[in-house]
Amino acid sequence: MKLKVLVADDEAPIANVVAMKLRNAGMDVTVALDGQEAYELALADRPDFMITDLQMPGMNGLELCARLTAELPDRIPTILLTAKGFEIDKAALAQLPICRVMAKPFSPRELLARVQEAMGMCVVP
Amino acid sequence: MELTQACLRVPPATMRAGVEVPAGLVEETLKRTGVAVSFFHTDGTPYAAGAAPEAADGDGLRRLVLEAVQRNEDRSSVADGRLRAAWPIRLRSRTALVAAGELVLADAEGKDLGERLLAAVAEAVRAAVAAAGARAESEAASESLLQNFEEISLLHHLGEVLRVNRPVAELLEYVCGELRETLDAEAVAAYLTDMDEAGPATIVAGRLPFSGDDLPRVVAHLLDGLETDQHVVVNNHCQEDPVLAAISIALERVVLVPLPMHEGPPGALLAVNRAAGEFGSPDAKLIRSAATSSAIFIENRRLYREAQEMMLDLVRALVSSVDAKDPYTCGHSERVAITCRRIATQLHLTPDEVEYVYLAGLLHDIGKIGTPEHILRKEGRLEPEERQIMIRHCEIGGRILAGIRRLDPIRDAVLHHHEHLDGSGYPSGLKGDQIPLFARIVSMADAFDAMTSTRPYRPMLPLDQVRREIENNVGTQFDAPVANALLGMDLNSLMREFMDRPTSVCVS
Repeated sequence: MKLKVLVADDEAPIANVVAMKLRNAGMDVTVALDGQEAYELALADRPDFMITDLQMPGMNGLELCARLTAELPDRIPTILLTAKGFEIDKAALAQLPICRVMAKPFSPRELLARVQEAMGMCVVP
Repeated sequence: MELTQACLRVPPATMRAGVEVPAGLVEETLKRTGVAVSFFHTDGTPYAAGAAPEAADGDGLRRLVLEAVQRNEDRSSVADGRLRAAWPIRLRSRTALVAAGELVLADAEGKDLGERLLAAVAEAVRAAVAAAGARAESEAASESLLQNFEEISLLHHLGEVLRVNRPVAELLEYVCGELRETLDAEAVAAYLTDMDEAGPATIVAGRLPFSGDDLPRVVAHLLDGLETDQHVVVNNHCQEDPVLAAISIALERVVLVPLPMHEGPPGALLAVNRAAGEFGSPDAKLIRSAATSSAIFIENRRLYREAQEMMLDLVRALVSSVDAKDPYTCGHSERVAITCRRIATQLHLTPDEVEYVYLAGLLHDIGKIGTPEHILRKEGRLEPEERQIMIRHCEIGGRILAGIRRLDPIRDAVLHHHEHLDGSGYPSGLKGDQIPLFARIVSMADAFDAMTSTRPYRPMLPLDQVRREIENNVGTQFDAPVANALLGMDLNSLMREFMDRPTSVCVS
């Protein structure tokens, strides 16, 4: 069974790079270019994992994650991407299934490793 | 219509970017249209190593292919009941390869229909080859994009760890570790012919297929014959090199990039072995970026250390000019500085703060440069007016340091190192927390050295008496945490460190 991953980032090149890296690793990746689109895709597709940018127009990454957590029966483990030095309210994070916050620019290799780690997948060293 | 066998031969070695024969094209075409398709080089040789057997009449097909290449147009012929066609496939302005289709005609009437079928197949084959080429190009572009992302991320994080006051070894450990993961190499190593003036150094992430002691030989051998330090060496067949093979039979592939230093001892970064495949120029480029950043850092670090040493030497020279005025306090400032550093470390101050406290210890009596020698050298108690003059060394010291912006954090420590916790000290009579922490530390260290030194009017006090003396004055003269930090350490080892201190200029 392929891991279904939803990638949300309003910067298309970043979303595509992430998608490419995860697809190369055999995952089934859907890309959304804003929070609303990600929200709708998540409701329809029920992804196993989500990678979302924090700052997106309309619905930001935290709101997206909060709404999905409230509305879906299963919590979607999520990696939050942020701009460097952007402070996030720790209390807000604790309420959400966010397993990691990664600052841009991040290494696609490391991101993939984090997804695999979070999903308890076997990672060949 | 009767069909002949198909063959498809595309050796990867001869393929250029943008020319790809998609897997399954031949089988699919045969299955759906009955046309056997094969592929040829422009010189008429078939693409070798195909899955399907040779066509029944290879020679006839080859002649047609050469004709198509020569005329640069599609050609077809009928012979022995077979309809054949050759279609040059162009990439940009050149013919990159030729596809050929062949089918067996059941009878002469089938020719028109057959030609229409071959024309349609030709179009489909061209489209499929173009699409596969585009896909391959896009995959290559994607790979290079991902690689660029890794590179940006690595260089970005490198920028963050490049603090000039961090040790070179720490940086190189980080660089090697990150490179090893990014490149998926078995090992990445850094070799410096000299690190921080402490001799050659080797830093390895992962496992080298040879002893670390052999690294200098490997580096020297690979560097041999390179004209400048701008070159990189990529060798994916190390076992063909007798020298490398002799060092390790497990050394397969290596990329070596010299650290491009302007001055100073040379070094190199190298990646060794990769199960996933050969090293190529993108790998070398990534290592080179890391090497350039590392070299700049190492050189800046050396300049920083030299400037730092110069400053410390100047401070010591200045301080010994004060100590030299008073034979009984010879080496006092250095000992106070050492004690200050021990206390600050014990109090878990940051490395920067520890250095400042050390400097404050060195410079605490610098104001005595303005104190007349007859007062400094006086044996026995000072008269009240002499004492007033002596006291001024704190303020003079503060004023001397006021002109040195870099020493701002220690000026107050020098000014207030004779304050007592209960407010009975000088020059300002500050109390408790009003006295800066650095000043409280210097005050403690100063008193400790006075008690453990031999003075004209009394011998050196034994350590247990020093201990009691300090304990009795905690809260009135000394700050409790600072005093506890001193009393909590091995005082004998501290006294031993005094013996190893740099020599001061003393007059007797």
